[in-house]
Amino acid sequence: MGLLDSLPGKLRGKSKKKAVPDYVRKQLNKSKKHKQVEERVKESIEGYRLLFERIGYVTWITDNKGKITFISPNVKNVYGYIPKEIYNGREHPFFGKVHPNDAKGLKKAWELLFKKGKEYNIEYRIQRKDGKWIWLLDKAVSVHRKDGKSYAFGAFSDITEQKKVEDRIKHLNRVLRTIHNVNQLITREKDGYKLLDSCCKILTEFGGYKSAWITLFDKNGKLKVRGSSKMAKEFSSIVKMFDKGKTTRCVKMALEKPRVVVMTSVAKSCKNCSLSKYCGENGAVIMQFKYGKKAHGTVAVITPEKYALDKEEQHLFKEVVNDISFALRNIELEEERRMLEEELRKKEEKYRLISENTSDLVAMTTFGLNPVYTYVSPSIRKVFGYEPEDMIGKSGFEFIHPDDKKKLLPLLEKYIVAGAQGLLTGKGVDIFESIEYRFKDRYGKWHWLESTANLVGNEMLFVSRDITERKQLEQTKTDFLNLVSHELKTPLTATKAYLGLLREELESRLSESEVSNFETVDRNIKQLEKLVLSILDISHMESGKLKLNLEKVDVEMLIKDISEQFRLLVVKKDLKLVKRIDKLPKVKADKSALKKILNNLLSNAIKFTEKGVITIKAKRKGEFVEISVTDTGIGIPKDVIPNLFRRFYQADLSLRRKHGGTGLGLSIVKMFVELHSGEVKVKSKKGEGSTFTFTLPIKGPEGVSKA
Amino acid sequence: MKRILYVEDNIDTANAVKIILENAGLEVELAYTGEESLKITNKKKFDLILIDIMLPDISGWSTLQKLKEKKVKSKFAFISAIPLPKKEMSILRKTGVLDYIEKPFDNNDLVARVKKILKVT
Repeated sequence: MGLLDSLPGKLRGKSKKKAVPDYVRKQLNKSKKHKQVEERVKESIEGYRLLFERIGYVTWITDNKGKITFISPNVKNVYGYIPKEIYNGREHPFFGKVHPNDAKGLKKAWELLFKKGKEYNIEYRIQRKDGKWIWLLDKAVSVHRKDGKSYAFGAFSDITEQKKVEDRIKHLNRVLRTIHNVNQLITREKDGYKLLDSCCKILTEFGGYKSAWITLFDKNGKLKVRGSSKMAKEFSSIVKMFDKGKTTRCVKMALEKPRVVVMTSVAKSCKNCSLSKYCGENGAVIMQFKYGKKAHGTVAVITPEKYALDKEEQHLFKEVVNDISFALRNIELEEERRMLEEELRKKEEKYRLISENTSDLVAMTTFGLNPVYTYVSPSIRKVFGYEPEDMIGKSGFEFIHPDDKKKLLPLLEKYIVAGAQGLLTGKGVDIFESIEYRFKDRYGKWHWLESTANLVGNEMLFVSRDITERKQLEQTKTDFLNLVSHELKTPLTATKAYLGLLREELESRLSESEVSNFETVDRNIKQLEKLVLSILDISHMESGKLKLNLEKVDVEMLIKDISEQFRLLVVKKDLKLVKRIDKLPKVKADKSALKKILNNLLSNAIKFTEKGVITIKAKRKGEFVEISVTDTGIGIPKDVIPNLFRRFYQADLSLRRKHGGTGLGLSIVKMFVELHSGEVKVKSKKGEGSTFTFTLPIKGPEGVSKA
Repeated sequence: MKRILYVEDNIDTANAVKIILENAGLEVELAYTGEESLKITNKKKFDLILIDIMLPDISGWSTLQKLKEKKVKSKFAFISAIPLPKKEMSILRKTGVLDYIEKPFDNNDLVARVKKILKVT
């Protein structure tokens, strides 16, 4: 009797002693020693078996067909069946209950055990008698007998609880690894979209999530799918949905609050979603990206429900999402910085191109009374023949005409104070409005330059233009106008003088109609004289030769004087002249210019008014005196007002025939007012009258700070 | 009777001024160029020399300068079509130019201003 044959019988207690023939006994005696060994082995196996059973292992023996020939009684505790049920089961009572997913692996291990004698060590699920699934850890060795029969001798135990813990640890480990990988990715990946796709890959490959996808708001505030991994075919319809501006329920929920949203029973609750079938038994975990104050998108993973509900896992998921948010914010900041830099570079490039291609000269100098060039644009070559490098380090005054230097120094001094204040307060200051001076070129020829200067950082930026030609033209024009006006004035002088003489001589002998004729000649000569003087005024103003003779003017007195001059005219037309003058300080102004302004406004008012009142008002308005002349005349059409101050402009040419006038009056008014740094305005309604208002700074034009 | 020399290149104007001032009881002699005025003053004395500024040969300014250099004892005034800023009038006064009469002038105004310079009524 072989060991393995006898063992089960013995254990079942069914073995009986028989009478044995001598030859057999002999044979037996021969093998007595062998038997003794056998007995000892039996004992020791029994000992191990008991030990195994004590510590919760179920021991078993099968033949090479897998038929269980022995299984320890403690199998009931684990499996629910008693050994008898296992031996007598019609279908294989053991392998039949193994989880279909594990059966293949088990079969293979079984074959290897017998064919190659490979140790059998496998975990598989099996369904208990009560229907519950449990995990078993099963280990076995194979024994081959001389007669060719083979047996397997093994032991298994219930590792379901252990498996659960292990499983969870494994999963958490995966999540941790995911975080680690995401973190590594974040430091490496600078491209936001690539990052999102890679994150999804990490979530599925390392994180053990079934699939993952990410949405992000684009620049126009539209939510788009920006990354995914291991998504089902149906996912493409979700991408399209987002492109159309629609969203899913889960994304909507995630965007509501910055928290982890868990979707369970997806198949039921998200019936309308094309992913619900794909999710199937799984749940979804989804959360928004948040940085700054708003949500920027969502991360979603599909994972078995039990993991989806695991608090620890949710926490880790949150970490991953936060990490991605952080990375995205960094990428966005980086992108912003890059774009700003790019913009700045482009601007710089633009300015560089402008400064290098303009015919204007652009130069930077140190800030101070001796401005030294730190930059000169290449345009200097074309106009002045210098190389920009030759100028750098030299003082601007080396090139400026000595007479103009004298003129410029006090200006520079004055503005350096303002500039220094600007530097201290951090506000930029326009230093010069515009200055004109002579500048020597490489060949010693003088050019007229017009420059504007600004404070840029702690340097001065000069933009200059060669105005030599303009200056020459201006001079020619001034000369011409002076000549013309002189040539006009000379015959006018003689005519006027002789007319006076004639009239004096003939006065007593003239008839009424002859007197009238004389008056007509007189009036026309006066008109001519006025025109010539006006043209002169304007040409002087334009050539910059007209300078104001500033003195303290009593405006009230001046208005009284001038209105006195117009009294006769006013009475003749049966109008009223009203003066409303507040108590005013003396105004620093050019008296004759002021007279011209008032003369023009008053004569216009009277000219265009047939009945009613002319009102002159004067009042103080802060640092200014405001003077207005209002009439109740024909008024000015709206569309004409913008042209009103233009030279030789008259609202209606037919009016010129009726009222005369040069069309220069108002343009002279405007020029004189502006020369005083004042302003002139007009308000008018056709048929109701007009009001011309002008202001003069009390402290004179210099007292007005330049805006 | 006060004697006046009027330096003026435009004959019509010169004649008109001569008549106007003579009508006012003043004696007027004419010079048509700056050089001519220098010659005349060599021989004759004048109470007032009226000088036009735009003269064909030497300008009114140079004429004034040269007359002064010759120590011609007379009062001086300009008469010109070029307008003169008031500030410069004060400079002129310092150099002994007592008035600056702008063309075209009013006959009565001319007489009044000349009489004022000469302190005659």
